[in-house]
Amino acid sequence: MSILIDENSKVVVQGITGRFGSYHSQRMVEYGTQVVAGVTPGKGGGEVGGIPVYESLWQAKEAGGAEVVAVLVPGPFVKDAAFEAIDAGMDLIVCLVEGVPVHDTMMIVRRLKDSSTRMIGPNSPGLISPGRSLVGFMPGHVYVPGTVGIVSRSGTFSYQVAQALTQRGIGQSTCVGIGGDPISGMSFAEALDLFEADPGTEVIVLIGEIGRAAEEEAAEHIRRCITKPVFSMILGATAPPGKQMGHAGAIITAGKGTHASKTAALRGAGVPVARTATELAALVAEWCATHPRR
Amino acid sequence: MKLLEHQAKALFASYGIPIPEGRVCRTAAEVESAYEMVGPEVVLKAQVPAGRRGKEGGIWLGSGVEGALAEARRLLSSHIRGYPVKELLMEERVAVERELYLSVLTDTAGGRNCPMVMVSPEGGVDIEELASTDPASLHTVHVDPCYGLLPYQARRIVRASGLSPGLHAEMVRIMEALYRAYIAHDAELVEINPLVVAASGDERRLLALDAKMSIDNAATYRHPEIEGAEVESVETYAASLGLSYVELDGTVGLISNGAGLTMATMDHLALLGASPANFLDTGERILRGGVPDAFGILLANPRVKVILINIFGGGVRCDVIAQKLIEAAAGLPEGHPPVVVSLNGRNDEEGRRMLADAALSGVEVYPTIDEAIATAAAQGAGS
Repeated sequence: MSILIDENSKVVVQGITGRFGSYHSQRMVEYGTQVVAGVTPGKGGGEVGGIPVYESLWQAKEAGGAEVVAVLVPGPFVKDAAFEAIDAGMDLIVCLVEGVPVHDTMMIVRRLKDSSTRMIGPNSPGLISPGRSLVGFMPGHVYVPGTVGIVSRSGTFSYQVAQALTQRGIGQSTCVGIGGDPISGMSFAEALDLFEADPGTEVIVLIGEIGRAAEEEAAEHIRRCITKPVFSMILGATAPPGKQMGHAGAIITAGKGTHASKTAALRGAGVPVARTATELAALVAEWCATHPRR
Repeated sequence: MKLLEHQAKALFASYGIPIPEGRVCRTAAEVESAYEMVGPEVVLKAQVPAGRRGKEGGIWLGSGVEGALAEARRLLSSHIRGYPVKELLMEERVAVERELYLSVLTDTAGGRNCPMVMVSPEGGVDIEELASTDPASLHTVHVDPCYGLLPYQARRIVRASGLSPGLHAEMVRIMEALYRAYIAHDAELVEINPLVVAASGDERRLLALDAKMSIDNAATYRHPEIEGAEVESVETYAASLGLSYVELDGTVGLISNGAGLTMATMDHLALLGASPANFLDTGERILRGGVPDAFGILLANPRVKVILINIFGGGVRCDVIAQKLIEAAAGLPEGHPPVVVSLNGRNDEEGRRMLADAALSGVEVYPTIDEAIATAAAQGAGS
């Protein structure tokens, strides 16, 4: 089992004719994802690697029946693409784009509130349900199917954690990268709820980083609503205050969003906080060894 | 992107926010002519993109053109909070009756993700300090970005600002203007601290004595009208090359991809008793000249004793990355610091084999991240 995407998910790629769009569509197809259509205004009627290209999301949806949209258009065009996806009634927007103006994201998440569409990102590495479907940048071969759900603000580090788990023979249900921007669609809490409800997920791994209050809020949510075991790690113990660490949202401002505050909040909610990927995988492995699958 | 005080003030003024009479000066001649315009009682303020200038001697209050010139010379050859002072703002002195605080910023806490207007009757102090010592004095209102700041919302927090009722309408007007500026220019923050009640005789008026503004870097492309502070630093140089770089004070130079992996590597080095010399995330530039550029930046830092490259290829293949590393390593100078490589992800075995086969001098590739980090930590700690 998995959350959000599985082998039946049909995906349409916005911006499929661009450099990123065409490259990553092909990679997703290679993994086994059902990429049924692409959209690039002005290039409808063509195709990219056998995937038909349409003028609009409505046309693509009508032809291919997709419910998931991967956004791979440049940052300035993301607001338009996301609004189109919401209006077309897509279930899930996976926004893989870095450099989306924050005010645009603010309007997108405002619009999402009045819809039934979910959005992951922006600045997300995407998500993968191992062996079933990949919508994003993950290196598919480091993942194997299993029962650990991963939710992360980081992309590349979550790959390392998945690899460390896989090397110990521990597979994953779904791994979701919620993205490193100041404002994101899906929150930790929303992803945690999905894992809590998923019968295929037994353990949850949460990877946070400095900046914002997302991890403190996640800790509170875990305390109140999550019964499955959660293991975590917070990145940026050595990050100096006031400096943006790559991600637009990874900055300690006014003494808020520190590693210490997030670690304390999670530990307070009974969530172990590891210091390295190896340590994190060992914690999960220990839990799995003492809790044989029902 | 941060604006200097005078840039933010000019922008605020274009929205009808009252500011003191002032002139920007860069030379002695400009100081003299500014003094003629705004003297005899003046304030001279160093224009640097940082707060708390007063505590660092960046603000001078006085009168007399000779004193102003002497002070201007001193300031223009000084650094304030690490920034060279290149411009001064000379302003008229006003009689301040009271100081307030006013700002609009993007509140991302609690899933609110919307603009927030903040007012406090306790202006002129460090607002972060105030938030921890006297949070009750901060009054906020959250704004639905679809509908904007409505007058009743503004009135509600203005009533809490402690201003005399005669100034309420003007305060609402300034608040609405500041909100418009925040929206129109993709601001992260617009702040007036202090917003003062200036007294002259029986007349009382509101004035923005300071101004702060920062623009979302992802949105500057659509604001050619905005002129921001020019900061010359290795960080901004790296940013111009498309690399995210933050200089730290350790000895292990780091090249990584992805913000999270880079931070995790820094933290891991610290756990082993070593210290990172920098944060450097190549992002998607890994395949397009990012590696030689990163080498150049790290080699310019004399503290770097060893260079650790930790790459996890997700979207990009490790054999392609290995080729880029081999090409870049060929350009390293004689006697360069040792380079320790960890390569994981798609085609990682192939990439590691290519690097091993290339047998580059002073470049070692390790099969696991933990081994590479431990090796770099040991080399960084040694003298």
